[in-house]
Amino acid sequence: MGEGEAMKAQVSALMDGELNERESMETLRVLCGDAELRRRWADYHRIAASLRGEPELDLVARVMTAIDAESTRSYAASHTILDRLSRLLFLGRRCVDFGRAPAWALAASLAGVAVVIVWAMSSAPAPGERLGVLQARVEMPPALAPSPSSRASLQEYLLAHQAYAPGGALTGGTRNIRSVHRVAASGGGR
Amino acid sequence: MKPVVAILNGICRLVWTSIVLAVSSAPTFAHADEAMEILQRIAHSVRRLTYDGTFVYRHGDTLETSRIAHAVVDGRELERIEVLDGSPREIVRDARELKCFLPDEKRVLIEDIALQDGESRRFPALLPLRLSSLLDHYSIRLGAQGRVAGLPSRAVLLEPRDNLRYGHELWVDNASGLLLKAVLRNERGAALESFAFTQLKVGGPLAPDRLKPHFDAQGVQIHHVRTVDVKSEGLGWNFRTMLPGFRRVMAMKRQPMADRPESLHVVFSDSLATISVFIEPGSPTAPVEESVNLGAINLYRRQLDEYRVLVMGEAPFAAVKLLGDGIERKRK
Repeated sequence: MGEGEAMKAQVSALMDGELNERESMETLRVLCGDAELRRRWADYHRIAASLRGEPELDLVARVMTAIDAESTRSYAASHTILDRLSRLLFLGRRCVDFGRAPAWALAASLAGVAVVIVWAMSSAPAPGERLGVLQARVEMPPALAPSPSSRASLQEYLLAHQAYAPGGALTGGTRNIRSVHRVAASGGGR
Repeated sequence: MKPVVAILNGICRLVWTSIVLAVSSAPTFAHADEAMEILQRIAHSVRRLTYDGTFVYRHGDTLETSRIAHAVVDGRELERIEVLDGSPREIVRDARELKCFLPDEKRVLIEDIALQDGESRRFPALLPLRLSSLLDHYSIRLGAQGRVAGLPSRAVLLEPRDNLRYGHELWVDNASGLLLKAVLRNERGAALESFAFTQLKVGGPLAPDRLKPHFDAQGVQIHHVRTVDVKSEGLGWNFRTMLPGFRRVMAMKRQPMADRPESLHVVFSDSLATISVFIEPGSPTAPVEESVNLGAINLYRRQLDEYRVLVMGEAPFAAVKLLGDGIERKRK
């Protein structure tokens, strides 16, 4: 398979949601710089919309045409923002199911994209700098079991902690079992 | 090229790039939306439905089976949990109190959870706004379809975006929206603890004794804690390290029995993970700093002058210690 054919297969796989996050982003990068691939991408969307009996997503074609008119300089310049957006948009590291995009989701994404751009440019930290000092690792001290008296008071505090934990709104009362579970603690002190 | 034209060109390029990404990521948002709807449904079902079931709690090498019954009577939640293995410990909750019966120790712990107006302050309903804020700190997605306790269910996965919280794997009953299984995972993906129903009956009337304590209260020590809400200005303490995504959701004075000093309880949460801070007067004890690990729950204790500070939460030790180390007394 030639390089061109391989890339067409990649675009097809992207359409079918068969690529992982890294492969998807790489294919999107190539797509931005290749007019023929973009036309194929737009065709895929038209065909998929037709098969689903949905109105044609003319927007995709228009976007592709507009990108055609853009200089390829824009592609290189947008790499950083692509990286940041990819981290923000690929929620859950899931392969993207391009073929089944509902129109409302598309509209919502377009509406929100300006906000995402501003967020990505202004607030999303780069890898390694996220949360700064709060990302620092804290090692657990060596194991030491609590005394029986402190174990009893721990149980009281544990009950209070469970009683007011907002996460209980999801897990319900089952989490309270922690308060009466046989305490098998380990810990350390200095 | 004139600067203004260059800026406009740059904006256009960003917009086109973003539109391409928006087109491609729309289904991902759709999946996240569906996962969020499921979370909202869990939060609603767990409070509103009547159910009676058996569940297994696993923590480290220990495994215990318990029964839970939950109903809403006259608009108020009632709930009873009974441990079926070992000593018959019980937890009974109504709108006013949370009671914990410990037969081996001949003790009853009672936590007063009613506000002055009689409403329960126990984990308030998760509002959609708070739920959506989870997306800032967790990657949320739909997981596999499967079965738990013989019921068709769907998984929702919440993966933390930093090392200040754990990951959650939640399995929800397709029919009722009840949470059937919950697994808490550390940063390596290892399970720290899990709850899983093995049998569940949803709806229908419950036998009256299912919600009443079976514990014989004769000759036991009752440890009843009353609580009073405290406003920010009355805290008397600064929390210099605010963990990203965590906000203070509650602060109260705890008034235990006469032989125990009054203490302060401050609750921080990102809506899923919770960290509690307890501050009580007490002379310095050795060790000055101490940490305890109870599976998913980490505790960090330190002495601050004549006060003992205990920080605990179902969060990594790093988060618990960071919050604890940032606590200091307000200067008068």
